[in-house]
Amino acid sequence: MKKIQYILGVLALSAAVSSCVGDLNVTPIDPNANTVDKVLTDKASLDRYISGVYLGFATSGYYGPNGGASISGLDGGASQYIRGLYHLQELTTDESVCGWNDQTIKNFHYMNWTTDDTFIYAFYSRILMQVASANEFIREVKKVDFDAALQKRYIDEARAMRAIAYYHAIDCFGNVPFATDEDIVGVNPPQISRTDLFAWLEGELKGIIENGALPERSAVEAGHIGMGAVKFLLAKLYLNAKVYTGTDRFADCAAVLKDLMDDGYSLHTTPNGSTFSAYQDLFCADNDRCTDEIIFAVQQDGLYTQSYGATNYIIFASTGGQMDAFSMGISSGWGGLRTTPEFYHKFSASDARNLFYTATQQEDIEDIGEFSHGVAFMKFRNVNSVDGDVPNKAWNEEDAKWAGPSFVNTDFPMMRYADVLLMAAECQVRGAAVPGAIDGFNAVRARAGLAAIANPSLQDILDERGRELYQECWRRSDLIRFGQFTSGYNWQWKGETKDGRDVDSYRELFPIPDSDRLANSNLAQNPGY
Amino acid sequence: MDANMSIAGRLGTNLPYRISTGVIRQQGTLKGSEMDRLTLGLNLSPTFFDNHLTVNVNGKGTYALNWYANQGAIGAANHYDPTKPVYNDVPGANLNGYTTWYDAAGSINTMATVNPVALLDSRRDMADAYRFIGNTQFDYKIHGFEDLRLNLNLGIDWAKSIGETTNKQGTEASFHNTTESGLGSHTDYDYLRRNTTLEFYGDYSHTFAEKHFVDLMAGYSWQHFWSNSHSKSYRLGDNLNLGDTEGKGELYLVSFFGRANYSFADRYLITATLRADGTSRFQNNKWGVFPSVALGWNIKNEPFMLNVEPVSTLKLRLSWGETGQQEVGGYYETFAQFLSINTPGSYYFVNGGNYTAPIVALGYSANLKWETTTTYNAGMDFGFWHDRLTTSVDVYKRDTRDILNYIPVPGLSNLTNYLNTNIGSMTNKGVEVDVNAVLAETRDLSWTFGVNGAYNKNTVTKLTASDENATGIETGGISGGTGNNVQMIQIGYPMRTFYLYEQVYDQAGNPINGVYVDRNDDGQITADDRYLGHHADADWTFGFNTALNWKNWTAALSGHASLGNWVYNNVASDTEMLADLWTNQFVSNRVASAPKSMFSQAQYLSDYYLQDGSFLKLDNFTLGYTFPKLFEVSQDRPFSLNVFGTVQNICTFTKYTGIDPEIFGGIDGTVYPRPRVFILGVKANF
Repeated sequence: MKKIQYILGVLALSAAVSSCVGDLNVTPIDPNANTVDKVLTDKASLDRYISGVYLGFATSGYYGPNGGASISGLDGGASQYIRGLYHLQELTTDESVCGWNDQTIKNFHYMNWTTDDTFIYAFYSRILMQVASANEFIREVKKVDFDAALQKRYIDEARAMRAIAYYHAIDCFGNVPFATDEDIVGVNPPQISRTDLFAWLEGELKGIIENGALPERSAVEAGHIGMGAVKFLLAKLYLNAKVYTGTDRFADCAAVLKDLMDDGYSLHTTPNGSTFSAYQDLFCADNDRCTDEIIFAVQQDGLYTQSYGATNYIIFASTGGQMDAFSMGISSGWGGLRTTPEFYHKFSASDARNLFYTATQQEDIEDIGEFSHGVAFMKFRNVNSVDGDVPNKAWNEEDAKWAGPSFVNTDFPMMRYADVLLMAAECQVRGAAVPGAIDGFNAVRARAGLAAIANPSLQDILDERGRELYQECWRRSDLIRFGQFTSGYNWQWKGETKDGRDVDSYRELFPIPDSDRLANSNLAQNPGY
Repeated sequence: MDANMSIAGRLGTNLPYRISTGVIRQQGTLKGSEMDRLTLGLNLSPTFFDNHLTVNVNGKGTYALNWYANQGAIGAANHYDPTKPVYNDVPGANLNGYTTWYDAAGSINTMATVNPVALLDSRRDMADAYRFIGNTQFDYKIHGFEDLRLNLNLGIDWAKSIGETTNKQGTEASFHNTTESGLGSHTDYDYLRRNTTLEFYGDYSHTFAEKHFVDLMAGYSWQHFWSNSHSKSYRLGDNLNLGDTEGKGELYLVSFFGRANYSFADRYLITATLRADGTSRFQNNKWGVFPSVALGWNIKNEPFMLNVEPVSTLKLRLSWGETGQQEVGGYYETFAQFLSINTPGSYYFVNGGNYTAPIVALGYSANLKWETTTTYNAGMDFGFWHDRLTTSVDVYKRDTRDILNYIPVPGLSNLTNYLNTNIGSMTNKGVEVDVNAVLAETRDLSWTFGVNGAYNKNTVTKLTASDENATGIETGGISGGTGNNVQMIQIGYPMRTFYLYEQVYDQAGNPINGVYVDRNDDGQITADDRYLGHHADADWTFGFNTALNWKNWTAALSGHASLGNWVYNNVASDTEMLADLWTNQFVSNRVASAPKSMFSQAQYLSDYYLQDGSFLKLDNFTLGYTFPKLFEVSQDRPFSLNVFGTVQNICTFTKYTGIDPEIFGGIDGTVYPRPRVFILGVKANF
């Protein structure tokens, strides 16, 4: 009897042991973070997944504005995509200074940034994160089968987002690590030369256009990328080809622009309401209405898509001093961004785009840290164009007045039709004909209330671009293309001197950040650093 | 206040029991933080079958009510303008009368430091915590074969806490919070944890021919860790949903182990062990196998030593063995995980009132594996004069391979920029010496003194996560700025070696703002001028303790010391820059050392902030008196009373200028001093 008990005991024990070893084969039980087979299950999950790739342009992380920055080791706000783009494209130019003491933030305007600059590292990491995120999307969505047409379209949207990130990479950093959806996670990527990246981007964008999966203008859903954005990006690539590869491609640029000008986009010339001009509508809280002109925008929403970057940064950082925060549609300003007198003087008083706060400001920037030095921006606002109201405003009992919200509804217009017209005029002036280009150029001027110029010079084009597109993150590229970035044109505090001075031309490219060169020995530093 | 009571006794002949209970009320240093805890413990240890089966049942339950104070008040107190009163004197003022910073336009300055007292007052955070720890152990000696023992141990650790946090409406802190905008918020959260273990082993021991002692043991263990947490927040003013999160995970650990001991005549000892450990954390490398062998020679028991009078103990020990480490990060780091976002603010495709809750792909390390340490150890134990003086000396070498660490990963190689990874190998070499002496031992007086010292040298020998010719791996993140790292892991250097710029000083010996030594003489200051300098971990550590008993008096003192540990003073580097004294229209208080450096801008990467953290600490002093027999409870049951006073954390001798140089990892961000504790206690026995 006892023996039987022992045998049973041993049997029970060995059964327990083998099941225990089997326990080691787990799969995640977290309902919110799981493997792809449990997450990507139907068409609705495809929508959710593609929105996650878009989210990379819009917020810092996954748990609201404060929590879970998707790039660790860096302040959530400072690592946001559009904020990083603003740092590199605007703070380095005559358009914008930032007066904060945030570490090395002033070095952008001084043009003396170093290879270990954390703001540069933040934007660099953000670009690469966006590429990685699109690569993963393409890899995974190729494997499933819920809706072939939609999958094809979403894969092309992800390719277009990857191309946007690589475009910013070729423009700012030139020679960057390179990987596509063909590569696997966990391998150090090789470095691609600026010229090779240009060729890849050109092929990729043409491929998306030929593929035909993206919708034309009228069929683009809110927030999504359509074919217009891909053509826009290809035009930008050709426009700057000489900078990227040494060979100009204005003829190719003109061809793409001609095509894009037939796609049904138009200048937004009729105001949505009575408070703001048509131009201002494009930068208001409800600028998602302006689908006539805005080709692609990064969404923001006061309740659902919040960040300390993107337009939230632009509006809050531009507001300060004695400015009335509520009239800008926000709770209170961060008091950082102003413009230089050189840039401000490009505007005539009658220009509808002359949207600056001057009352308690002085034009001259004696002290970059003092908000009242330099006129302040009032271009982007969190106020509805339709009725002049502030979305998500709250009645403050104690002060007995309305208070603006902490997060804005204003989307960041990354690609606009006005830019298409200005690019076309530039091609025309540079000898690559685009029919109707000069009329388009003058239509942009006319909307601003300026007289036509029959034969614009290159300087006229550059100045018009500045007036039309300021704070939209194109200025550095434009100045480089026109040879006025490191030398040929100076503005206050360029080169860390009051009246500005020339700096070395190698600063037309940003350095590959030290941190990444430490981690990946495939990466050579850009010349000059 | 802390009170404990225990009762021990025996039911019948073979059911000993022990019941203990305790209540504790602890108030934190911050106003409003408090813990009230009630503990109830039961222990039963019955024996059956003529002492062949021993059962040991332990159960301990606790209930605690925790009130948490807003920890942000510590940092705020450090930065707040010390010349401002806590309350403003404007009658009927806003924000509950607390002094508040406003900007030029008259709005609350949301970039300013929040009034620390207002901060404490603005939050209510409390949780009920329940915990049960139980285990039952069966130990059975086989009838008729008593040398074989079977042991089964079942254990559970269950914990649950339910809490709620309220950020009050209309407070300064709530106006500073961008998602609340002054409307306040309420969060309900709960956390449930259940850890279970099962361990079974058989042990056979027998002494053959009076000289050959053999002990063989084999067994396995199974552990399961499971937890689930929820949190749900909404804004108070308008009930806006601020997020609804859930986290859930589990980990399994399974081990098989065996041990063989053999000793001959209590002179020659050999022990060999082998264990196979499995973890569900590393899905693609679950198992690690870790052997060890140890040899001992008890020289004192050799016939030729028996009569060597002053020597009472003499042992030689040699060992080699491997151990594994799998405790790193979360439970699912080897899985490609996709996060379903559930927080308003991180939604997309917002169109009217519609939105999409995104899914995002997270970074992962598919090939994580066990970190393995191989230790070689040689030691000698000495005892003299009936062990009134004992000494042990050990020399060791520990080689660790596949070190687990959280490091930056190359851009575009993964879906994040930081990951837990196996990064390479390192070696630790060292010596440990331990001396204990009984200086006096009489009927009324005893005095013991113990001291130990250790030397350790750590060197990174191989890096696999980054390329061979890379400079190393950045580590040692600091607060202040974004993404600053002050240490480097590099081959040939200790793990936590500081990697900073060399500060240049003026003739008066004061540091010059932003001026560094051009160490590579290329005419400019670039990242290549940073150098690998001092390291964070101590070269030498020492400890001592002494106890003196005289009649009914007892006194004891202990302390420890450390040499060669360097500390980066992050508090100073983050609060000295003068540019922030007045910025964005508020005063931000600077630390007292600011006038010495006079840095206008933060110089996070200056070695000016790296200081020698060597120290000597007196840790604990106790003085007590025992009344052995105040009265008799009953016959042979005296009521004794012990009265004692203790001081903990008595004093620190160091050149370090921060609060406390004893910082693991060498980066000091402490603004909250370790408290010096005075305890008066009474223990009664009856």
